Amino acid sequence: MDVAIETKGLSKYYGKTMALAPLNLSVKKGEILGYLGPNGAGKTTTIRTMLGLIKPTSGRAEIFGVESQKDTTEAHKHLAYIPGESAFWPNLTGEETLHLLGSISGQVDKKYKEKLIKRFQFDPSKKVRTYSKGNRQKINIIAALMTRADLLVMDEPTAGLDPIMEQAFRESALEAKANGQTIFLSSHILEEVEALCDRVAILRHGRLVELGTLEEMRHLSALNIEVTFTATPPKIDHIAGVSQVHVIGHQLTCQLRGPIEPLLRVFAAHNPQTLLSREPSLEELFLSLYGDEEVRKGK
Amino acid sequence: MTSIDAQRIHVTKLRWPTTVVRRIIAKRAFRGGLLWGIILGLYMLSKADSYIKYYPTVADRMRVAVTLGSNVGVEALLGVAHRIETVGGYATWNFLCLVTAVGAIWAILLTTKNLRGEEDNGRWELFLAGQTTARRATMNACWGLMAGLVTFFVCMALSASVIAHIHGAHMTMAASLFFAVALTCGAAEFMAVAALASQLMPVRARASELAAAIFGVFYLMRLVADTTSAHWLLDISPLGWIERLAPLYGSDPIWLIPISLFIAVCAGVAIILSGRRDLGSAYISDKDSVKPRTRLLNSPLGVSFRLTRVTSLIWLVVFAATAFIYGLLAKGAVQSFNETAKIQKTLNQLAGTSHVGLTLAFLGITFFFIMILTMFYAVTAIGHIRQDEAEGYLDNFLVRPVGRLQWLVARISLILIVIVLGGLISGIGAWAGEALQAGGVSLHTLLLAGINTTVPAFLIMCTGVFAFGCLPRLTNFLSYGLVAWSFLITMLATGLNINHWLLDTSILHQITFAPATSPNWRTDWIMCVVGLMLFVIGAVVFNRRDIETE
Ligand SMILES: Nc1ncnc2c1ncn2[C@@H]1O[C@H](COP(=O)(O)OP(=O)(O)OP(=O)(O)O)[C@@H](O)[C@H]1O
Ligand SMILES: [Mg+2]
Repeated sequence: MDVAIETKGLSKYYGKTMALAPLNLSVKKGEILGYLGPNGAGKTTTIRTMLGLIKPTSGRAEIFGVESQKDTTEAHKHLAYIPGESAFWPNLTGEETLHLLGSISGQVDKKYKEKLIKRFQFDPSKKVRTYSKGNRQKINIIAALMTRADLLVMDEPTAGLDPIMEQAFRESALEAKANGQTIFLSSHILEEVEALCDRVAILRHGRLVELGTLEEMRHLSALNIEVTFTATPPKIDHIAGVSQVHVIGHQLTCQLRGPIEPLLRVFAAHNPQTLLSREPSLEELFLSLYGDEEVRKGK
Repeated sequence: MTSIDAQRIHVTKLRWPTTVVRRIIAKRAFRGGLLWGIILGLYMLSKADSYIKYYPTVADRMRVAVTLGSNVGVEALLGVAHRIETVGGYATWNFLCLVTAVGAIWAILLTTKNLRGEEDNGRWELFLAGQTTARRATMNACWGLMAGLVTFFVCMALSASVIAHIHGAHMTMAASLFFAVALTCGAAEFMAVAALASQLMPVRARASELAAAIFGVFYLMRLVADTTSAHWLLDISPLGWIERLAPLYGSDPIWLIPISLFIAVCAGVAIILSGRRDLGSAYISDKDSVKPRTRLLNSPLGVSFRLTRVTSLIWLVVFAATAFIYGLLAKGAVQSFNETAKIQKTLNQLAGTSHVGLTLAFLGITFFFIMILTMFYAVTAIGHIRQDEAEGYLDNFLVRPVGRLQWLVARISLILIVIVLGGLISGIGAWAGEALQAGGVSLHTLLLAGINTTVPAFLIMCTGVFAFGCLPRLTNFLSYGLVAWSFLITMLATGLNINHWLLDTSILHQITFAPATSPNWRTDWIMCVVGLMLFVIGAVVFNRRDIETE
C-alpha cells in the first residue's frame, strides 16, 4: 500500500456553517504535502477530523488503511501530531512532559530524542509554566519527531519559533522524509512550504481549490515580466494573455499567461534595455488565488 | 500633496478598554457572591427560625446557654458564646464564624483565580496588552471583586433583616445591618490576603495555599484565645477582630478600624507589587527546575493520579476532620436539647423519621452535611474533567493511541476512590470523636452511615458525566445547580410544606439520614443503578461527540 492518508468525502458542518466541504484527498507514502489556505479556510478542521477529535458530518478518513473514526487508537499508532499550540501541565517539567508524551505514544527513539533536544537547544529541566511560547512549541515538535512515526501531521508547527529554530525544524522534516516518513504540513509560512513540500493543496472557504506539485501550479499561473526601455514603453494591453500592466517612467511590468512570443516581438521593436522574467513564488500564487476572491467580493 | 485627512481616520473611542478587567471580574464575582449569599442567607434563616421555635422561652434558652456555652469543643469551633439566650447572641455565635469561614474560602478561590489563575493561563497578558498597566489592571480587578463582596453583603443584610422581623427576635434594623457588615468582613479580609498572595506566589495553587495557611493561622489564634486565657491573641488576629465586633450582643464597631486598615494595607501592597514585578514572575518563587520524577507518568491513570493526589488528600482530610469534630460535639450538643419532641419534628421533616436517640439524630444531621461536602467534591472533580477538555490538556492524550473511554474511566475511577474512601473515613472519624466522649455509637453503625453518604455523591458524579457527555459546556452549571437545588429544597422543606413532587427532585431527599435511621439500601441501590445508567449514556455520547475546546 502506498497511501498514507486518504479522505473520502470528508466534510464538517457546524450547524449550517460549512467548515469543510466534502474532501477527497490522498497523501502518498513518503511525500510531504503542504496544506494551505487563508485563516478560517478549514485546515485545522480537516486535521482534527482526520485525527478523530471531531466527528465528520459525512465521509471518512483512512490512515494507512485504518479508518480513523472507527478505530481511532489503532490509527494513531502510526502517526504523530504537532499542533500549533498546546496546553501542557504547568507543573511538570519539560523532561517529565516529554517522558509522558513518549510513553503514551508507545514508541520513542531515545537517541534521536537527545539529538533533537540538542538541535532545538531545549532545556528540559524547567517547569513548563516557565517556558516561552516558542519553547513550549519545541515540546510539541520533539515529542512528535522522537516517535519516528510513519506519518507526521503538523498544524502550523513553527508558530512561535525563531528563524534559527525554524531552520532546525526544516532540517528535521527533511530528515524524516529521507527516513521514509510522510508529512502532512499545514502552514502559513509559504517559504517553508516551498522549501519542503512535494505537493501543495490549497483550501478556500472549506473547499479544495488547487492540488498539485509546485511546478504544475506555476505553469497554470502567470509569469512576471519586467522590462526597461530607452523611451516610453509600447502599449501591450491588446496582446492575448497579458494582464496587470504597470508603467513607471521607462519601466514596464506585467503578467503573462500563455505563449511569450507575440510579446517579445513587440518588445524587440521598441529597443528594450533589460528584461527580467520570473516564475511566481508560492506567495504570489497564493495571493493571486486569494486576491481573485477579494476582487469578486468587491463586485 | 495632501496631508492625511484627520477626519477620515475615524477611531471610535470606546470607554471599555480601561475597565474591561473590572467588568469581566465583577460579573464572575457577582455570580459567586449571589450563590453563596443565597445559600448562607437561607441557612441562617432556617436555623434562626428553628431556634425561636424550639427554644421559645428564656428558660429554654438559658439551658442551651449553660450546656453549649461551657463546651470547650464547641467554643474552639465557633468561638465563645455570649448571651446565646437572645436571638442576636445565638445568631452571632452560630453564624459569624461559619459565614466568615465560608466567605473567606470563597474569597480566596475567587481572588486567586482572577488575579493569578488568569495570569497562569495567559489571559492576563491579553488584558495588559490593552490600554492599561499591570498596576491599573490589578486595581481594576480589585474593584471587580468588590462587586462580589457587595452582592454577598446585600444577601447577608436581607437575611439578617428578615431574621430581625421574625416574631420574637427583638433585633433592630441597624443591628441587623451591622451584623451583615460583620458577616462580610471575613470575605473582604481574605480577598485582600489572596490578592497579596497572588502577587507573591508563582502559580494559582501556591497562592491559594498561602492564603489558606494564613487563614489557618488566624483561625488558630482565635481558637487559642477563646479556649485559653491568652485572650490578647484575639486582638492581633484579623479573625479575632471580627469576633470583637460582637455585632448583635455588644456592638463594638471600633474594631472595624483595624479590619479596614488590614484590608487596605493588603490590597494596597498587592496593587503596588503587581506594578513592580514582571508578568508571570513572583516574589516567592519555588524551584523552577527540579529533578524529573517520571514514575507515574506513563498512562492516563498515572498522570491523573499524580496531578490530583494533593487535592484528593486535602478533601479526605476535610471529610475526616469534619466527621471527627462533630463526633466530638455530639454528646455535648445533645445534652442541651430540651424539647425532644420538637427536635424530632425537625428530623421528621428532614428525614422522615422519629423516635431515635438524640445522639443519633445529631449524627444524622452531621452526616447530612458530610454528604453535601462529598457532593461538592464530586462536582468540583467533574468540573476538572471538563476543564481538561476545554483547556486542551485532553488533546495530548487523544492525538496519541489513547481511547477516550480509557481516559474517562481513569479519571472517574480516581474520583470514585476518593468518594468511597471519604465515606469510610468520615465513618471512622465520627466514631473516633464519639468514642473519645464515650458516646457509645458503634463503629459499624457509623461506617454504614459513612457509606450511605457516598451514594448521592456517586449519583451527582454520574449526572456530571452525563452532562459532560451530552452538554459539555454546561457541565459545571448543571452539576453545581443540581447540588444547590437539592440542598435548598431540603433546607426549605424543614420549614415549609413543600409539594412532594418538588421534594422528590432533590437527591438529598431520597436518601435516609443514617445513622438517625438505618440506611435504606433499596433506595441506595436504585440511585446507584440510575447513576450507572447516566454514566453509561454520558460516556457513550462523549465517545462520539466533538472534542470542544475553548
Ligand atoms: N467549534 C466550532 N463551531 C463553529 N464553527 C467553527 C468551530 N470550529 C471552527 N469553526 C469554523 O470553521 C471554519 C474553519 O476553521 P479552521 O480552524 O479549520 O480554520 P483554519 O484553516 O485552521 O484557520 P487558521 O489558519 O486561522 O488556523 C472557520 O470558519 C471557523 O469559524
Ligand atoms: Mg488552524
